[in-house]
Amino acid sequence: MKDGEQEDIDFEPEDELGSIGAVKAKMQKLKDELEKVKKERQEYLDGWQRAKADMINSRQEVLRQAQRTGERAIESFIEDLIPALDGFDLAAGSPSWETVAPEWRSGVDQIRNQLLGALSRQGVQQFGKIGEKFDHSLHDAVQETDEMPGEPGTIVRILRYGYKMGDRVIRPAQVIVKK
Amino acid sequence: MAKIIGIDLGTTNSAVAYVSGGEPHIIENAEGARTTPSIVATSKTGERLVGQLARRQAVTNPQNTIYQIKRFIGHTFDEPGVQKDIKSLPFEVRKSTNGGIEVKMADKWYRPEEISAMIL
Repeated sequence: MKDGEQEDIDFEPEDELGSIGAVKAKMQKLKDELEKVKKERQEYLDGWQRAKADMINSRQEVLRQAQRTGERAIESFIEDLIPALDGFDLAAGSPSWETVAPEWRSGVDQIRNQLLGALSRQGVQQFGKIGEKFDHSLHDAVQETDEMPGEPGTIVRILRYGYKMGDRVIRPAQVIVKK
Repeated sequence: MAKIIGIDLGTTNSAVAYVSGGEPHIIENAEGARTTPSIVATSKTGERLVGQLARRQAVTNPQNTIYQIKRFIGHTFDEPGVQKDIKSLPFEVRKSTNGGIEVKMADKWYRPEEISAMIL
């Protein structure tokens, strides 16, 4: 080239510009699609993980419910039996109990003890004792009184004994509490 | 997946349930009961009690055992019905700064909605 003369050198003829542009556009489109697919994949992964956790929780819940159903069946039976035991206690606490013939009293006591023994073998215990401190998890206070001897906040009379199976209270003891 | 719970916040008893497989299932409380008495108390040892435990000690601690609180929700202190109810309640009730109702439990004052929240 001579001095003073300049030529415009075109390194990117139009058809090459078109093909590079198309490639760039295609690249961008692929990038966009990749982002979209990544997002979808994450959503599916999240959904799958939640469904898996739900399934595990459901399985555990079913096992817990099955165990609870069994326990409830026993508790329900024991709840039905408790009024009969209450009857024994009411009879033994009545003033006329002493007028009943000793052999009858002894026999009735034995029947009562047999029933309590059967419950005990199922893990059911009777509870409630005069002088015990009132405990709302075990006792149901039906009255508060100043007229009976005892320490404040303790049980002065048991109207009905309580029954529990392990730590679970089936029927709280109905008691009168010292004010 | 969001779980939906249906709540029956009753004046005397409350219950909650969920639907599974198209059937409603009542949720048992900690004591294994399907309904919970709508009663809240602060025991003599300062423990907050709700439901059956609160009811069992109500006779020994009437001033700090709150029941039938739902009767006060949405009402003002000066309503005749509220004034009539207050006369038969063992716990203290006062007018709040906005004319509503507050109940006292263990030296603190609560709105009826707060007591209901404790039940739930």
